[in-house]
Amino acid sequence: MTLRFALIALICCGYAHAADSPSIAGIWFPDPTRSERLPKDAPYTKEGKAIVDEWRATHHPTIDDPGKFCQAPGMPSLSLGGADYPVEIVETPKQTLILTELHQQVRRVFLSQKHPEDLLPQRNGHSIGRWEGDVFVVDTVGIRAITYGSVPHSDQVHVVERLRRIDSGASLMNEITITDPKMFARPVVLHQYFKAGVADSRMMEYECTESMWDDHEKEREAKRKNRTAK
Amino acid sequence: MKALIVVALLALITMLPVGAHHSPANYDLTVTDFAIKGTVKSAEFRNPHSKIILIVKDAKGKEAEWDIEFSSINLLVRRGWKLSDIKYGDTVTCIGNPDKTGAKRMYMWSIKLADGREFAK
Repeated sequence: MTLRFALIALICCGYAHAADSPSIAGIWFPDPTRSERLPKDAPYTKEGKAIVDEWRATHHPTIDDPGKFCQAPGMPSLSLGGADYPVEIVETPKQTLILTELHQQVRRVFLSQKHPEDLLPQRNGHSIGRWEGDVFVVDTVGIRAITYGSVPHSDQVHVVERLRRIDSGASLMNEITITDPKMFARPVVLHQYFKAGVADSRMMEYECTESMWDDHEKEREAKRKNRTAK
Repeated sequence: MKALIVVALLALITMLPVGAHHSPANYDLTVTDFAIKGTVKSAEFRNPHSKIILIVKDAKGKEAEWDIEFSSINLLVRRGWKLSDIKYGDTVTCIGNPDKTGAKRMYMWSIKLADGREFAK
């Protein structure tokens, strides 16, 4: 009886859903063996190259690494991941949430909506999504200019992501097209791959700024002891 | 006046390790098997990177503190590192990338515990 109930539940809620409507929901782990990074010889415009060169000339590659200061990557760097942290995709009727463990980022992809005309530029921009067959298309604009990270970009950047299951559903591919006339002479297309999580995969919290506070407290305590010793 | 400058410079030099605590060094990524053995003075498993202060004795028995930087707590847990088994007073061997300048710090990818267990990437 229990088995019969379980089978009916599986058919109704799981298999039938997957067969009738496409879904990319679940926990996904980056697959660095297949994923692409922005190449060093990216097609920067003259202005774009000057911006990147200026940043490199004035910042030490590891000492001045924004990630060490708990800076979240922002879009479109966020879509490129860059580390082994998973992403969870949650589908609801009005929005699809892309939750990134690294820096605890939440991207809201609004469904059946247009971008507002009075957009406030933000670090991850404004995203709207739609299904084209089995491909979930995410369109993002309103991104603030950030000249560091894995994709330096201007505020004119426009990102289109095409996400779909591949390898019989065992993997997820995101084809990311980055258009930024100020930064790049032509659109840049990068592919990211993810492996499906297993049944007991779980997302963890990623508390980062706490470590900076702890260091501050230690330095404060050291100063206090120093004063007391005098 | 000269003495004052010398004192000021000395003070500046002794202050540097505090700054270095926040500033990761340049590690030599071409060397992956650099190993250093010592005693754990402190271990912090955190984001964005974890840190161990290791007390290392040289051939003459003189002790020095090493700054061991390594992956975030999230990634260590996923790699199966049992973090409660790395604690104050333990003798461990840290393996990874040395500092390019020869400073007493490194980026650790694997650790060998006194009981022979090893946690790695």
